[in-house]
Amino acid sequence: MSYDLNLRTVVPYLGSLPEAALVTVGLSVFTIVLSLLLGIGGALLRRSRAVTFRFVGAAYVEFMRNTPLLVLLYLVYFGLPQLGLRLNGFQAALIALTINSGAYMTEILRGGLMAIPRGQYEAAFSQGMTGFQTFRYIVFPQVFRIIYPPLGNQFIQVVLGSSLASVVAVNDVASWMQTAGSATFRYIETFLVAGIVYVGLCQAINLARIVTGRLLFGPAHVARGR
Amino acid sequence: MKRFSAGRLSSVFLCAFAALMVLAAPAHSQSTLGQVMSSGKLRVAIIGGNPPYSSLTPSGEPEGYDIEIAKRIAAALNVEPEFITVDIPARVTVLQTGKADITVANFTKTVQRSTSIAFTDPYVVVSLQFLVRADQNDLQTIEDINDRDVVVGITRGGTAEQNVPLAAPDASIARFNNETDILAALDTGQVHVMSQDNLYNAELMKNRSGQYKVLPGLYSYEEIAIGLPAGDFDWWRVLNTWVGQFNASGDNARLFKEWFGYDLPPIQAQY
Repeated sequence: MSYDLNLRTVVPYLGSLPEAALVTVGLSVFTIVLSLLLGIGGALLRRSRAVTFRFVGAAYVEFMRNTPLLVLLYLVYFGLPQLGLRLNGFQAALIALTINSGAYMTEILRGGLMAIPRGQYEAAFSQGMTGFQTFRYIVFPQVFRIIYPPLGNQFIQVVLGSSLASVVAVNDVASWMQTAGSATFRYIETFLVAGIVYVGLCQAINLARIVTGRLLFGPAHVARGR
Repeated sequence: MKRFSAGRLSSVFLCAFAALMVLAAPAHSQSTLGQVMSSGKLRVAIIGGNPPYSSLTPSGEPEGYDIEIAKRIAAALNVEPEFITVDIPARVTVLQTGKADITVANFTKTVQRSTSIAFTDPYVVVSLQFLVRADQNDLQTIEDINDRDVVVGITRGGTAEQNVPLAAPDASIARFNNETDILAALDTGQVHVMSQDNLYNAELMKNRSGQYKVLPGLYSYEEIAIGLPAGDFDWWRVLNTWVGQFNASGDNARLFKEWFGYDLPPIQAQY
């Protein structure tokens, strides 16, 4: 038997797609920003001199990297109300995605920080820079140029991971895909359209990452032996 | 680097790809009926976690009302049933891609869905009902639900998407992928009301009596039918004959009573 691919069957449902895409973008962007902050905190924790801080950081990273995002989502949405904290779908998805992605951000930033030679810190100190000035003007610009590629990967992982939010009653693109598909039984067409939307969103976020990096730290033409 | 030049690599990949395509091309020269009879196997797609329609025993064997229907069809055709567990989108796509011969999975027959797959005549008729926790005293009637602060949990893309807004236009809707999740949401207070078909509700009330209550009123008319691939008249003819006799002979009523515990509601609408 053959399947008649007919994209016109999806057209009546395209009206609700922009709103769904907006939810996905909103969830992804908030998660990226918050997990970046969490990642900075985690990286500093793991590089601190106190053993307890290092242990806490390592435990957080290992736990989050070794549990599926779906399990975390269920815990936050269905488990927390039993302890008295009821969050709606979007909030639960945001929290679960953030703490999950924060672990990966921690590792990415830690790798970037480890690649800065000690000499840079010594030179900055010899110039009379405070710790904060060292980080802001010397260390972080170099770190961001190093972590460009893995950061881009992680941003894409966040966008794709946000599709799991549909499991906890969030009306994102994955939810649209299921709803439109279930109503028309034209799953192949709706999956195709949803896939294209996700590709577009990932590329848009990638572009935003590159532009932000250029604006903050200048063009990435650092001669690092490439 | 010279041995792995781009030209050579891409031609190797092209050959491998072409070989895969040839191997994967299905040989659909027979109708579904011919295929079932010659292979001796009826491939049935079912949804696992929806008792008493279908559920999986701890050993992994499927059991339920839908399963028994499929076994009877296979017996009538003198073939062996082979069960494939699927989820809500897959119960349709396995028919469209030829991976299953029939789907018995609490399928509501609608005109829009009929444009992509075929349905037999219905074997059971269900209606939409609303379920709340027994301790929710402020939700007693449909008017109480018709409020923006009340959240109704429904399965995504099901018939409830149209019917719940018709019954309670002001209520907020939360969409989940399956009934188990909606029930978990109801238990933890993430949704206030659960909408499901009246037979599923009845089963729940029997198994967990005292925890839930059903609000009065039936809010839709839905025919549950067997799904099969579109465009295959012979296969539809055979299955539909079976369904007609299954209903008329009282076999359906007996099987239903055995799995649900009460009498089969009338299948024909009174008009």
